[in-house]
Amino acid sequence: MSEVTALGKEVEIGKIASGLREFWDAEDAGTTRASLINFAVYSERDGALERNTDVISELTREHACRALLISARPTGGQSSARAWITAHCQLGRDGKKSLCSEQIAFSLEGPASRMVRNIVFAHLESDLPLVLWWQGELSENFEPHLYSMIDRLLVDSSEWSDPCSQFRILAAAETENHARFVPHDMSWTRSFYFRRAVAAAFDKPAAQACVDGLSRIRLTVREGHTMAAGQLVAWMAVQLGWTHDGLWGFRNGNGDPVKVEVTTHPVGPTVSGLDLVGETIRISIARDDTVGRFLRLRVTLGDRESERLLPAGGDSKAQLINIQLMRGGNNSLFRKTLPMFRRMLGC
Amino acid sequence: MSNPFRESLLSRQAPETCTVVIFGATGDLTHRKLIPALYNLAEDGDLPPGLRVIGFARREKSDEAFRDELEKICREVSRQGVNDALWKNFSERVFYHQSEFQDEAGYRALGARLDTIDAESGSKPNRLYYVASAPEYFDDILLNLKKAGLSEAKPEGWSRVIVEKPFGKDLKSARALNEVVNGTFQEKDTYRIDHYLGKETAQNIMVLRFANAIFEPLWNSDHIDHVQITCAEDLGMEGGRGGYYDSSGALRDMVQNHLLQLLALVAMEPPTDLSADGVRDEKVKVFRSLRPIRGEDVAKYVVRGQYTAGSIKNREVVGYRQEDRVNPQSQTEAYVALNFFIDTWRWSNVPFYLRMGKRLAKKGTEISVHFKNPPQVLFNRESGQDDRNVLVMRIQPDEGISLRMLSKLPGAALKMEAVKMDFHYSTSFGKASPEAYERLLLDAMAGDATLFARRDEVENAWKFIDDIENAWHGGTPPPMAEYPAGSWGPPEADELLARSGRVWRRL
Repeated sequence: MSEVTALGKEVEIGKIASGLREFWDAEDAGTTRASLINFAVYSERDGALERNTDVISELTREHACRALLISARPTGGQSSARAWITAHCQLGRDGKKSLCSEQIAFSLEGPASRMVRNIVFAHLESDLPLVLWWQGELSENFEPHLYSMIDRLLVDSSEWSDPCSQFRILAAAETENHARFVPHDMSWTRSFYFRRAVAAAFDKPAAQACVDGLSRIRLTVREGHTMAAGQLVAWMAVQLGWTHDGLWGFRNGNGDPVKVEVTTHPVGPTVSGLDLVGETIRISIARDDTVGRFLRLRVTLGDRESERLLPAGGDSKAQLINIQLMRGGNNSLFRKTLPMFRRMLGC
Repeated sequence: MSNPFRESLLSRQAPETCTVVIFGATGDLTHRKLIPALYNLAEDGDLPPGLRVIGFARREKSDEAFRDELEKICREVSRQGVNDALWKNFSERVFYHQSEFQDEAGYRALGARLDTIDAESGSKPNRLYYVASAPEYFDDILLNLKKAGLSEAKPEGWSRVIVEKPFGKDLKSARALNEVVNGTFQEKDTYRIDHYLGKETAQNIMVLRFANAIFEPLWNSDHIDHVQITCAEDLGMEGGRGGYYDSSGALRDMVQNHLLQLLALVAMEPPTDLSADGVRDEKVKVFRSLRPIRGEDVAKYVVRGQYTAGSIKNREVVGYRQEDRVNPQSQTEAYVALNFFIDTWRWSNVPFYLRMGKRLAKKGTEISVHFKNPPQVLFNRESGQDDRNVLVMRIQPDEGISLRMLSKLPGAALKMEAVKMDFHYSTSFGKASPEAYERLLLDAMAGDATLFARRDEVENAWKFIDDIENAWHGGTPPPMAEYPAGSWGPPEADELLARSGRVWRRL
């Protein structure tokens, strides 16, 4: 029971709290336990606990939290519930203190895998919000008793085999069961810096005057990330009031068709390029990792061209979660865009 | 027409593209604060597109030489370092304009240059003039801007001015300066910068007070015994500051602006809204309610002092009058402590204590709210100790908030000890905050004057300060106290509190 692995020290489920106390009692005076949120990660895949431990290690550099990693394997057979505790420590900004975020990892098998709320959520830090990252498809364990406790739900629609049914589950949670969580989709977050760049391109009034004439969108994404491309297109359509004209078809403010092209590459950033073309405007946004992590924004308006570098952000799961946590709020823009995106999917 | 893509991507007013003209471009402020601030805004993607910077100063210099100088310092001080490609992109839009501050032709040439920039970029003619020069040139710069027609907004654009402190050295000069400023720019286009207002911790004072339900009901004379504001510096006159400081002193250099602004945030009534004037109206009321300290009362309620030779961080340092460029007979205070009152219903008879000093034991700026003693019954009947709760807002360093309270000591006996509930920015939020100047420059570009001092704020603050200065420079000035460098100030400052049974909080 006292074996130490990559997940930390194994402890009995009933002795997690005392195990953590022992851990902190043993730490030296230069260590501070830090926590602003409960951050839970749920997965039904093999090896998830180890993979997610690495993600938490990266995430806690910016977000002190109590992390709860859950591996649920309803494979039948014997019921098994195991737990490990560890901490992720960083040097504080003052360079003096070591700031540590606790992690509790749970492996739940068989019938125990249905008891996420009972077993896991008994170890939430009180008074702190609960952010739950649900990896993969929303399974039977995603039920009202569980999600009634969540303040923010993170999903990744690029992992879904049937996005329509998954979005239906989310919608039902909100409308039928009055779930109060704020939904976040990593596919949406993947386009965050590109959306910022599009916004920056249209800050000038002369560019704003061209929006109704936009007629072409070309996106370049990595294979498996057309969801990010689609949500970006849906956002533009909603903000510009385009008329939906079947799946990925639209008509712009002038009533003319908007052609949407998505090119995929096997490698590279999830979103690597976006071109917008209108009658008198051309906007090109491309990742330029040769100069650091930036987007190169080029705006050609008539015979004037301007160029600037904007932050590009990272693509790792931890970096995407970081963006979501830093922005906070109700994610209202995503909620506003989602109905259009679901229509694009034919849901 | 607005940008349809900005919805929810900005949680603040959008800054507008403009040309920033910095007067005093070869000075320290430009190199160490303004340009790094603009660069870091560019690095964060927050700088409006097409923004240009023109440095206006007297020395001969090419654009390239100016950019090289800026880059060298920026690499040293930028909070995010400097990325080569981004610096190239940023600095290509930084230019240098050589002219004497008194040379009208130089301003006309500046105007022509600004017009060319706007025409080439197709941008709106928005101009942000930053007066970062020595104070003696403020009038020349403002009047010449007006003569060259640069202070007036062009059609479809705006013209704004940011003025650095000091806003005058007394009420008369502040009014005169404000007349010049308002004769050149409308008050709504005038931004008097006080970088303390751009600090996260200063902005957090209003959030603490007005976003939490538990504090406001206690924030008054029924529950608060007194308030202390401390600004302690361990530095002396390094960097040749002695000459400037000796003509100013602690009261004018720090109290009149930064510390009275902090006081206003602590003492103000809740504003009706968060508009610039909504907030500033309430701050002005605080200044207008300050009970004047005049004549003989100055000796009773104000202590001024100078440090003598001593030791700071195990290093011997000289006394104030021995500092470089300080008059050996100087009567300028390097330390000041005040006991004053705010005559409002909320603060009736609540003493405020404020101290500011150079060469003190350690560096720190904080506000501490000392609540009244609980009734001397039950647990406090025979405690024999200071039972007061104290709420501390640490402005810098170790930014955060703490609340002191009493707790029972573990054990069979009923014994109590003070404990602290503590919140530290450094351990709570992993991401470093933008520097104050970054926030303030963005606000000025967005037309949001909330974090800038309004004319009446400045003048009312000077009114309070002038009364004290007049007593110090009048017929029988109160004595100058002394304290060894590395201590916590003169004993006379301790006496300010001791006579009412109070003590300065130990930082």
